[in-house]
Amino acid sequence: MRLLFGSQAYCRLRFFEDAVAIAESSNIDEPLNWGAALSGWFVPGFGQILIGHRRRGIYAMIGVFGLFVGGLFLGGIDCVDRKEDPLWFYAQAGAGPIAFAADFANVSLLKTGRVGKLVESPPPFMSRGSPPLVSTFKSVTPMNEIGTLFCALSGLMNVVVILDALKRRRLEAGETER
Amino acid sequence: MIAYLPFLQPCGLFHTHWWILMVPLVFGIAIAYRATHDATLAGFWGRTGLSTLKSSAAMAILALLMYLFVYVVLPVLPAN
Repeated sequence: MRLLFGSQAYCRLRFFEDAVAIAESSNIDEPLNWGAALSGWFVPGFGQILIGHRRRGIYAMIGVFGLFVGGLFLGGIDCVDRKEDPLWFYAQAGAGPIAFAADFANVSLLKTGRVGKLVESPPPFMSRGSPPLVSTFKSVTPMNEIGTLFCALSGLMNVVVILDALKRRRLEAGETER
Repeated sequence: MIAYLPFLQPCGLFHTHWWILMVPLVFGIAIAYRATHDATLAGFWGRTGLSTLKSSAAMAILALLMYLFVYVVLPVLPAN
């Protein structure tokens, strides 16, 4: 019981500390950093760099790009597919133009057969049309699911990074980053 | 692994041990989370590592509990 109450007090303390830290770093009375937020979508973390938080932006960039590139490495570019997996792509698109570039590479390289071969796959259930052609490089193992998840979480974390750039207080000239 | 083309083909290293990839996944999330939520960046990598450790341990404990429930608790329950 003591442990339970102790942990509750600890959680409340940590929550309070986080809330204070977020409130201190936010610019409640100042206008929102729309330019920083927009540039943060084009290049993850660049929004923070624009408003003076250079190290913070670089760390965010490492996190978001690391997840996305890691996802592409694990599952291949087939993990990003705007037509076949639209719901996943909505999350992945949060990572910025890199998601659209990966989808374009998937369509122009794998789906056209420029890389690998196109082979017939079993038609969908109750389908009367000709069997669809799929690339021999299409990923169908758990690696496809893991790669898709990595890229989607990268996009969702970049939304967090963008919102942070939108609200974060701009550093004045000569002010150092903590 | 002959003629393996990175980024075009899926990586063939973790097919049976894909769950290990939970750790780098959590690490990447922790980097972006800590970069946006911490008041100061002092000790950034240490706190990121600690977050990764805590989250991975929590998921491992949940997986262990689920394993025990499925393989130990469910078989001893009466069938009807």
